[in-house]
Amino acid sequence: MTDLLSVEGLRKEFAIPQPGLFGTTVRFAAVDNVSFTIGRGEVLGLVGESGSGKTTVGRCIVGLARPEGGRMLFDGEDLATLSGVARHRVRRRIQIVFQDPFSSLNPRLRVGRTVAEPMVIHGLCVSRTERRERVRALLAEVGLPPDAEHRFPHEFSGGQRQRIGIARALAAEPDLIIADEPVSALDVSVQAQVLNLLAELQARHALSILFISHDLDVVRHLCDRVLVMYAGRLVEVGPSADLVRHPAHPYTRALLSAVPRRTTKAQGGRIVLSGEIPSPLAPPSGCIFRTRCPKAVAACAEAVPPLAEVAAGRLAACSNPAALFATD
Amino acid sequence: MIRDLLERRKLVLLAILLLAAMLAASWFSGADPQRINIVQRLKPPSFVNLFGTDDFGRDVFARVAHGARMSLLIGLLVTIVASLIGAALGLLAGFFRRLDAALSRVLDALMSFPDILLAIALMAAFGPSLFNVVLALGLAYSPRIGRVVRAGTLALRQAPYIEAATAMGASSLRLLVVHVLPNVMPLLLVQGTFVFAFALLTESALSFLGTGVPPEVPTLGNMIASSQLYFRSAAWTMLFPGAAIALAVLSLQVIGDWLRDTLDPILRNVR
Repeated sequence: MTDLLSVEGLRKEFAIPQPGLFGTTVRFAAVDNVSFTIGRGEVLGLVGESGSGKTTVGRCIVGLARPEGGRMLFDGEDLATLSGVARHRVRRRIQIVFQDPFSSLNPRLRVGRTVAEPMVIHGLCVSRTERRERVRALLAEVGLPPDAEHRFPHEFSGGQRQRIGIARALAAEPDLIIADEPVSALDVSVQAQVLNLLAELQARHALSILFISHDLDVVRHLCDRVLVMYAGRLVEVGPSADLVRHPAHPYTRALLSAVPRRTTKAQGGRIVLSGEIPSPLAPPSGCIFRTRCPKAVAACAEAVPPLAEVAAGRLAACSNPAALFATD
Repeated sequence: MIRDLLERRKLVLLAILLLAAMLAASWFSGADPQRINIVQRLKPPSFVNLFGTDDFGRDVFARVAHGARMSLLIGLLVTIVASLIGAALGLLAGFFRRLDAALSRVLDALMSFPDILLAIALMAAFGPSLFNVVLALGLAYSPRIGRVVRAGTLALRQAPYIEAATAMGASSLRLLVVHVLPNVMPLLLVQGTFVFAFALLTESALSFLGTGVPPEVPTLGNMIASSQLYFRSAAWTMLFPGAAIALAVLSLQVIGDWLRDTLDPILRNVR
């Protein structure tokens, strides 16, 4: 069986027009040469700090951004070349849950209409009574009170609104859900509830989920495999439990050491990276992480390290063999 | 007392009451605004003729009452026409980036004429009639609505709920009608109120210049126009319709200001 989604060499550029009448437009790659696959029923985590391009990857997949290079094969069909009816059909199968539960719901639509919208657009439940029944079932499934359908989004809390967003995504009966930091805008106490709901729904509907997050703890809890992104490139890929326990790439180790722990002992040594993500307008030669990498050597500046197998089932992009799996 | 009255909400209530009174006055004025009584011509205000009589001996109060109703009605119709044209252009320009440059230039071109000049030109082309006044002013004021709606649409295009619907596969028509229009409605309402006020003023000016509503229709502007010959000796023939225009415009502005501050969530977010 083929993978549900296979992304190969994805590249997305953004243009910054320079000021002045004769200023030329400068282009830079927010996502560069990103390849991965999502299996059927798999939950794939995508982590990275702000500005690493992880959201852009998600936006490319749902069609909100048009990539400049690479291929995205969904169920064997190239998303870039689909047109008209075929594209519309695929749009039903890939849904997105946004980060901000406040601005992602139309403030002037009642919740019932918001949840019913994908069905209307894709002609899923044609009769009105059928649609209402389905909306009620969906609201119940995500744990909202039955009278929610008649109310407006502003009457709900952040967690409840995110549940509405999830119900809306489910209404399309998707195969793949892009969850773009679905809990990072929520209170910690509510985060767990929403995550559990996602895990529950994923199991019940055999959904594939691309879970975009900056929180490795959350990702480990939910995901089968994890992709680690830095400045638009993938630096490490691996099964989540293994990757968190034995991070291969120096960047992943730094990211993990930043996760707060309950005890100072468990916290261990914190790797503090100096400097900031390099400007995408002038990326360093070779490995993009080398300017901040504590293990950088001369070879790092020479060529972009490819994502290569470093252990069974583990991929990492690093030019310094000594840095892999190091215990700092 | 004065300070009390100047409190915002009371002022708005007063403005609404004033406009309602102007609309309703024609039903209570008693006298027929068209009844000519040459014997009683140019009589100063009295208990019989509250606002005096004009050069034909017609009751000025009755005429102001009917004129105000007609002027308000024209203003409202102009606002509706301007809103329909403006909202359509604004939505299209704001939503489809390819149409934006062309449509925005059309709006700019319309905006670059003084309203009254454009209206006079259009009236000259269409010929004088009530319908044409509404059409000409509606066209002249449509860019004011159009630009605001365009700006609101541009801001909303990036809103996550619009993106959510886009990702879902919603058609452009659906996005515009279900998601964008209801959310730019507050902007439209606010701008509409100001257009209403301007339209009222411009319509009066057109009538005064003799290029507006045909003179037999009693509007405030027509009344002032016909009072030109007598106003030195009979100031009331000009004073009362003039005051009615001023009060109506002021009331609309007060309401518009209040609406803008109360329901302008989009602009509040943009800033």
